[in-house]
Amino acid sequence: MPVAILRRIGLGAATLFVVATLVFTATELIPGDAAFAILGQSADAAALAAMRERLGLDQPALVRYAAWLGRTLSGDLGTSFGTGTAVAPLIAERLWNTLRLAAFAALLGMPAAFLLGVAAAMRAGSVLDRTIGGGALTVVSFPDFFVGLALVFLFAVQLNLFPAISLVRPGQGVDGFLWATFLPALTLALTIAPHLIRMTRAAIIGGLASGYVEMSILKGLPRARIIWRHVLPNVLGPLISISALILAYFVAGVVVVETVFAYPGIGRLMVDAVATKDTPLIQACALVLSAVYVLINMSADLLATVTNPRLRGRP
Amino acid sequence: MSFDGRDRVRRLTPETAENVSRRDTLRLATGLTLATAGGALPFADAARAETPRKGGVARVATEISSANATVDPIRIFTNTDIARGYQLYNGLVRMDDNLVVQPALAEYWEPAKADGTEWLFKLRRGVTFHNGKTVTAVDVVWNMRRHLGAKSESRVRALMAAVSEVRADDAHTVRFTLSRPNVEFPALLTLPQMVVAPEGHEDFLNPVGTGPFRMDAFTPGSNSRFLRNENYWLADRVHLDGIELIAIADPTNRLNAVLSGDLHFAMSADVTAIPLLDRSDVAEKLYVRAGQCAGIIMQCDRAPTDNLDLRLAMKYLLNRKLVLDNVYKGFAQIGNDHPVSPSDPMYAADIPIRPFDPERAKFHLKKAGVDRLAIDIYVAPGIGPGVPDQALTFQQVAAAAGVTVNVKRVPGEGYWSTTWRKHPFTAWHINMRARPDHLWTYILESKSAINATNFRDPRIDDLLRAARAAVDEGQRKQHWHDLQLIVHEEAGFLNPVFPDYIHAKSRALRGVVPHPTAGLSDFLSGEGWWLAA
Repeated sequence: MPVAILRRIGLGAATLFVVATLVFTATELIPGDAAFAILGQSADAAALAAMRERLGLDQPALVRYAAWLGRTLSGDLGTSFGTGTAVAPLIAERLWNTLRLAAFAALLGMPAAFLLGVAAAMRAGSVLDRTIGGGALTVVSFPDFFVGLALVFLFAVQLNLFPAISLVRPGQGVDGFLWATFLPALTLALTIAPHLIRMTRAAIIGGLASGYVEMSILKGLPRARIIWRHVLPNVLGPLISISALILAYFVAGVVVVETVFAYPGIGRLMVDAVATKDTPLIQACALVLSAVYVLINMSADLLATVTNPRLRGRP
Repeated sequence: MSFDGRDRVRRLTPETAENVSRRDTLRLATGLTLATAGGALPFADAARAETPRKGGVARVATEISSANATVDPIRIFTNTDIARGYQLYNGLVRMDDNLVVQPALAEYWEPAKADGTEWLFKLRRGVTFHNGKTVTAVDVVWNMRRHLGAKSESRVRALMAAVSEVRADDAHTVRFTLSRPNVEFPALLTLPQMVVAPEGHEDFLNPVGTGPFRMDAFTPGSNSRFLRNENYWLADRVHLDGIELIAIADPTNRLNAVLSGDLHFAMSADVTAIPLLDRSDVAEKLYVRAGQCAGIIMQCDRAPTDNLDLRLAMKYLLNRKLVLDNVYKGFAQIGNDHPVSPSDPMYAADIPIRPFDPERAKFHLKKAGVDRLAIDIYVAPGIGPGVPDQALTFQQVAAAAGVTVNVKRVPGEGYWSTTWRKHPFTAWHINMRARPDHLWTYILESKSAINATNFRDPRIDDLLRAARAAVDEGQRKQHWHDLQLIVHEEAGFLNPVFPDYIHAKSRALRGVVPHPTAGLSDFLSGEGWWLAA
C-alpha cells in the first residue's frame, strides 16, 4: 500500500508539472502586455521598453520559463508586476477566504443533500422522491449567478436579513463571518446539492439491487438498517469521489459567486490579475488552484482506497 | 426628491455665484428640466441647513477591482486608486466641481513670469503628515520630480513633460520652470497623481499623507479602510469616523448593495437602474452632466476610414437624438464629433450640431467612390456606458444609407492594447478631464503614441501650443473653437452624445458633491461627508 500511495503522489506531482507548463504557455497567449497595463494608454514606446526591461519581459520565453520553474520549485512564487510585492501572502489571504467559504458551503449543502438523497432512495418512486428530484432539477437548471442574484434580491434587498455583499474584515469573528457569507455559501450549496442528491439516490438504488441486499432482506433485516449498515458503506467510494469534485469546484470554480457577492476569494484575484496581465500573479494563482485540485482528488482516491478493502492491494 | 436637484441649487448660492458661468447656467437648466420631468422639484437648501453629524463609517463601492491597485501617487490610475488616494493625500491645489482650481496644500500661487513659463506655489503653514512630520517644500519637490524624466514610471509623465525643473526656493515656496508656456499650469497640478507623500517614503503598503483619513487596512484588489485624521488641516470638515472602499466590478451588484443598505455609495450606475433608485426608500440617484466620451472612433491612417468623405458619411449617419433617447434615456448631452462637451467652458456652441442626414451620407459615400459599404465595429463589455448599444443603434440607422454594419464583440481583457485603434472602427471611452488640453495632449497631439483616431495634423499641435500660451481668455477660447472645428470636420470621432455620470447613493449619506470629471476627481474623498442618523 505505501507504494501505491507514493505512486499516487508521484502522479500528482507529474500532473502539476504539466499544469505548470500549460499555465506558462497560456499566460504567454493572453492578449495584452503587462508594461502597457501598468503604464496605461498614455505611455510612450521608451517608457514601455524601460518597463519591459525592468520586469524581465525582454527575455525570450524559454529563459523566463526556466527561471520561473526554478523559482517556483524553490518555493518562491514571485513578485506581482502591479503592486511590486510578493505574490505568496496575497494568495495566502485569498486562498484562506476561498477555503473558508468552501467549508461553509460544504457544511451547509453536503449533509442536507446526502440525507435528501438517502430519503429519496428509501422511498424511490414516491411523492417525496419525485418532489426532491423535481426540486433538484429545478434548482440545477438555474445558473449560479442567477441563484445568487435571486437570493440577494430576496434576503438582502427585500427582507434585509443578510448583506448583499460579503465583506471580510480582520477581527470579524466566526459569527460575523458566517453572517456575511451566508448568501454566497447558500448559493454554492444550492448549485451543488442537486448533483449530490441525485448521485446519492442513484448509488443507493444501485446498491439495493445487488445480491447481498437480497440476502439481507431474506434474513429479515429492517430496510433502514440495510441501507445505513450495508448499502452505504459499499457506495461510499463514488460518493467520496463526487464530494471531492464538489470541493474542488468550490475552491477553483466559484469566481462567478465571488463576483456576485464581491467576496475577496482567489478566483477573483486571478480574474483581476488576467485583466491587468499581472503574469506572476496569474501563474501563481493557477498553480495554487491546480495544486488544491490535485490534492483534493488525491485525498479522495486515497480515502476511497482506505474505505474499500478490495482496492487496498492495488494502486 | 432628487439629491442632485438640491445640489444644483447649491451651485448658485452667493458664495459660488462669482464662479457661475454660462456652462453652469446650461447645466442648471438641463438639470432642472430633467428633475422636473422626473416629477421632482428642487427645494431650498434643506440638506445644508442641517448640522453634520459626527461619527459613523461610510462604505463606498468603486468600479475597478484591480490586483494592480496601488496608492503610489505616480502610479495611481483606476477610479479605485484615485478614491483611495484622495482619502490619504492632498495635492498642492484641487479642482472643484465648477472646474475652478482651489487651494489645498498650497495657499497661494502665481506665475513668476507673465508668459506662464515659471510658477510659484506658497505652501500652507503647519500642515502635518499622518506620521507627524510637517509638510515642507522639500516633500513637494520630491513628489513632483518623480513624474519627470525619461525613466519615470509616472502615469502622467506626458502631461508633465513641459516641466523642466522643480525646486524649493525656501521651506514654503516651490518653483516650477516650464520649457514651454502654459497659463493653465495650476490645473495640471490638480491631477490625482499630483498628490504629496513625505519625502523618500516609498512604502506604499503603509502609505502616509496629509489627507482627511489615514490608512487602516489595505489589500490590493480588495477592500481598504481608512480612519479619521484627527490632525487634518481642515479638521472641521471631517465628520466620519472612517471610510471603507470596496471595489465591485459588476454594476448590478453595486446597485443591490446600495438598495439593501449595505453600502452608502456606488459609482456609475446604469441608466436602467434609475427607476429602481427613484422607487427606493433607502437609496437615490446622484447624477451629473459631464463630458465623458463614449462612442466609436475611426482610424484616419488606413482604408477605408482614411477617406475624409467616408468619415463624413459616417458622421451624417449618427442619429444623435435616437441615441440620447433610446440608449441613455435622456441622461446625456448631444455631441458634435469632437471630444469637448457642452459642459466644458471651452465648448464651441456656435458650430452647428451635425444633423442625421442619410442623403448627405450617400452623397459623401458616392464622392468617396464607395457604392455599398460593409464595416466591422469592434466593441467589448465594460468599454464605457452604453457603447455596445450605440453600435447596435448605428447598425440599424446606417442601413438607411445602404451601409452594412457588423458589430463584432470581443473580450474586455486586453481590449485597449490589442483591439482599440487596431481596426478602422473601434469602440472607445474616456473620462472628461478638467481641462480639454489634458485630454487632447494624449488623443490628438500628432506625436502622441495613442493619438485616438491617428489624425495627425500640425494645425492641431500649433493651436494647442498657442492655446496654452494665450494669456487672454478670449484668445484661448478662439483657439479652442478652431481646434473643435477642425476635429469636427476632419478627425475620426463618431461622438453622438456625452453620457452623464449616474451614481447610486444612500439617502443617509450627506455632503457628497458630484463632480463633472467623476472618478478622476476628488469627489469620493470623505472630506465633508456625514451620515444622517
